[in-house]
Amino acid sequence: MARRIVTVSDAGLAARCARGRIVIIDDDAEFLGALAGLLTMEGYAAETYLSASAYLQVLTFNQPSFAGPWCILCDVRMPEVDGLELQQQLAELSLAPMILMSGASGITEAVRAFRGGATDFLVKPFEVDALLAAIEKALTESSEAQRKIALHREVGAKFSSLTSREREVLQCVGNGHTNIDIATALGISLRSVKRHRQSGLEKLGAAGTADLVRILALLEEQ
Amino acid sequence: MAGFMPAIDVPTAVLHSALLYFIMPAVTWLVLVEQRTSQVRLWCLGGILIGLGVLLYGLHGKVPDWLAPSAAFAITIVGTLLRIQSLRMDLGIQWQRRTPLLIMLSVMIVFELLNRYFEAYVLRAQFGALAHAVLIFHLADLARRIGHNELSSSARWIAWTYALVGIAQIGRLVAIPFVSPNNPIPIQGGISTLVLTSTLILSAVVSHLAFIGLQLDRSRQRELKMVEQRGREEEKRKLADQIAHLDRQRGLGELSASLGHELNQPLATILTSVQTAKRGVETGYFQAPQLIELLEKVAQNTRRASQIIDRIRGYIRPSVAKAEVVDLNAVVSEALDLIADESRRHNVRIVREMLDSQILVRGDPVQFTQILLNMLRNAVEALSMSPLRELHIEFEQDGDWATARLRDTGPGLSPDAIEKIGSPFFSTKSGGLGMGIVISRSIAEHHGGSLTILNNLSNGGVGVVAELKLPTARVHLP
Repeated sequence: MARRIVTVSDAGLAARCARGRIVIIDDDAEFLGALAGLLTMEGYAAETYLSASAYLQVLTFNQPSFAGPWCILCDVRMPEVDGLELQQQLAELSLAPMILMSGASGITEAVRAFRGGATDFLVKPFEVDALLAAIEKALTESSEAQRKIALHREVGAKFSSLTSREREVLQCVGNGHTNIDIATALGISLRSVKRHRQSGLEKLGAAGTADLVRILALLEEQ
Repeated sequence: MAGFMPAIDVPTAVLHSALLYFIMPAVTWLVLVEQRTSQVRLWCLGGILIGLGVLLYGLHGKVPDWLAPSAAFAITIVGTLLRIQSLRMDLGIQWQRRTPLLIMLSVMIVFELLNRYFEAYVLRAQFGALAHAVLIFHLADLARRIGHNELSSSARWIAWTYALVGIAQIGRLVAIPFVSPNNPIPIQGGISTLVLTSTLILSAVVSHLAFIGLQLDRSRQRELKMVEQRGREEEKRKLADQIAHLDRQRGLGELSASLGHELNQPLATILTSVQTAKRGVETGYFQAPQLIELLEKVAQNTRRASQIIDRIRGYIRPSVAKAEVVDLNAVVSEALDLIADESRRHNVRIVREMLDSQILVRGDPVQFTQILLNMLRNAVEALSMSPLRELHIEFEQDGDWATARLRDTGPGLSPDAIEKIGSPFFSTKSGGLGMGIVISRSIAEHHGGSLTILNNLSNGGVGVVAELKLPTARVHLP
């Protein structure tokens, strides 16, 4: 059963999403409404679902959304797919950070939640301040992650614009070899090495060797 | 010897003893008006017959021969046999119809043979005395046994007095040939007859008084036992109520996690709404209408929370059982409320028959809720692994009986479980005490009903059918 509340007109929606989009999943309709009201008041975009499966269905249909950081606020104890299961399923998609909530203070639940990578675990009834703090933390994480992804994409694009020769030279520079060694190793003139190195660094937007090493490291991560 | 006691007229003494054997049985019969069992009847009738026989003996010589000694002998024998049968009934070893008849017959035949055929009067008299003695000793022995079994001194008095009579008869048996060897009316004989008469008079008084004493003793004991029994049952009922109460406590402990979760929901909504309202007012974001909406939400959820608490309080009420007229439908609703969270969590769908009238039963509503909660929880547990999770609740009412039936779509009971279900300490749950069904069943039976749990065999059905049957109350609720 899915019930998605669009709490403001689409004109303001973009602005809200830019501040932060929060997906709220709880089988108690009243509480869902209360949270949505609060978050809307704080300027976020709140999306509400009465069950994890409702949310998963929406995911698969790939709803278009506005850009911005986002996170999931989910109750642990729900029929069918409960919060921890949802956490596992979403982990495979490595999506947004999750904040889990529970009406019962089960220690095992909390441990599993954190081991599953939750950003936070709130026990109902919780203070609104605590909730907003947890959301801020999660959104910051989300921004960070998004920024990293964007950066990686950017760097990746720049890297693909390198010629193979430039790539070879830069790899060797990154490994700490001198221009002369590179010239010898690759069997090209020293001037060519210097030329490739220069253009390569320019394309990558690296200021110097240190920058280059960082960029190469970043590319290796993924 | 005969001239030794001219002042005492033996026949008169005999007649007096006969008189007593008329009066005393009659008095006994009147006094024991509330205990007129067949034993008492036999005893009194026997006594009167003995009196009649002794009377005829006393008239020996003045009445035709067939009356005395023949009829006299026969009647006294019958009277004694009746008394013997009375005591035998008390001991539980009563004669079949034919035994006394046989005895009668054989004794009479011998007597008449001796009397008319052989005309051996002395022998006849001796045989008569012997026959009497044997039977009277037997009577005394029976009384002695009763006295021993029931620790009754009254019965022992009966034994003693008849033993004396028996001894007197033996004495007479011995004396007859010496006293009146040729006298066809040996009753005229002296001391031995006198002794016999005295013991008869003694026995008339003692045996009847002791008999009355014996019956009254027994009736007193019976009353004592009834009072004891009633006291014990009262205690048993109190204990059962206590056990039911403790079981409710424990059940509530187990439910408390679910109930706590349920309670936290409205509380969380209240807290969030209140703090949202505060922020909204501080920032000027909210105007009066939105504020009112939030406040209304707070009020509603407060009511929701207090309803949950009411449910708990209602359920855990102390152990004194009430007897009221209860609507079974309402009881089912309460139990469903208590289990709402758990069933939602296990994703069990509950299909409940809608009723247009009440189903009234008599008893303690909280204990009924307890049974239904137990049934529902068992069903929800049984469904925890099933692909199809449904619980069907149906009602039935036919005049005398009201039935609430629970059908689940679970795996059903294993043959082992069918056998052992309802035995104490048998549980299919890990960590289960195994007393839930035992207690529920005993509550149902306490109220005159029953709780049955069987596999569903109708329509190729799956799962378990649990039925609670209770006697209907015949009153209409306002």
